[in-house]
Amino acid sequence: MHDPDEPASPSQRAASSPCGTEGPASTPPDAEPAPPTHDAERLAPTPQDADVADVAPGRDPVLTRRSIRKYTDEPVSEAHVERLLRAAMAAPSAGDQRPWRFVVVRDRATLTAITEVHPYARMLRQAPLAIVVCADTQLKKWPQFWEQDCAAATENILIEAEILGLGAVWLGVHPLPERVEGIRRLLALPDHIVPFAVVAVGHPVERKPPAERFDPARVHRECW
Amino acid sequence: MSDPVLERRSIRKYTDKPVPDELVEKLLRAGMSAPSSGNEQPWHFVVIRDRAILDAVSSFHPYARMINKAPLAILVCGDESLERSKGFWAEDCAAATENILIEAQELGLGSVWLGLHPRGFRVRKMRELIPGMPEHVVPFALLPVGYPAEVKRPSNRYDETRVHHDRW
Repeated sequence: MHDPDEPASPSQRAASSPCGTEGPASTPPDAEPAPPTHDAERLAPTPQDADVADVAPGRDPVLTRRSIRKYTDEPVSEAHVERLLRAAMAAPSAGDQRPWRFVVVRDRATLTAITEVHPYARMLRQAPLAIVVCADTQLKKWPQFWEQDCAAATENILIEAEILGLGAVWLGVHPLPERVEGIRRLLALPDHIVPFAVVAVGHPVERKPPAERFDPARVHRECW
Repeated sequence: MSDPVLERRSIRKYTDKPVPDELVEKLLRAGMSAPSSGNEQPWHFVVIRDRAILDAVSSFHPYARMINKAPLAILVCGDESLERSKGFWAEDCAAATENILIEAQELGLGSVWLGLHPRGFRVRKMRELIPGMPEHVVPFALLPVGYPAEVKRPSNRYDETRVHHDRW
């Protein structure tokens, strides 16, 4: 058992940065990646073969994804919806339990009604579509982890939307009881199905540069 | 066509090749690019290359054997004192964790999500391994990272029966 008070071997320490909060040595946090390019090209490079130089920051959907709340009238195609759901279900989950269920909402009246039970859902009045990520909480093995599993699935939808040139935003539902009950009523969800999050989806009207949230103060090495 | 979201798999076997700091920084940048409730960004990250700390994890975590071969791990932590909307820090940290896993795929690295929170024992033991980690900081998930020594095809988990339209 490692004793945290005992320093690691000198060679180990020498190989890593000294203890404490600090930023990585290389790129400064203000090195802005290029704006996202919403074209098919970004699907072309093979990530397996990529090294540092080959990964152009502007092509990286994880880094370029932003919360998009303004959409055109253009409908989201069935093919795109399926791809978003495929991405969601590609998420990892505790013991591969896949607790997720999805309700794809295109019905205008339902989308509008959601804005009445969720205080930050105004964009649903314009959005052509929402995906409500839900959990079946009747889990035998890892009931404590469904929330994280559904969060990973939700994040996958957002990144996939970025890859497809769509725009999306995560509206938190669980664990706030009034939002959970409101959505449950609108979608007629059974008691064991918990609405976890609503993802509004559409073709973006707004373009946002990548958010530079990198903060060296949040990075620690070996110890606090 | 390549799509890091669809191609990502849990990788538990790694080569000896060290992971350069530049790539670790990209992983951290990806983690911090996650959305969070009210943009609260309630996260911290501990980069662990210390062999003694890495090896100690498998003494208390039942699914962490692969970490003994991993050149490094990233510990994603939550800080409730940074929370603006109560109840969402764990979801925010989960989004950051998933971002790191997808970025690893994008960079040709391999990783796997080892759950810590909300299992009290794992959280406590993990905190004990990081000298000086404050009590209000919660070790959320641990991600061993390395160059993959196993090849996994994308897993097709798509299941139509999980999809409903307009209502249940």
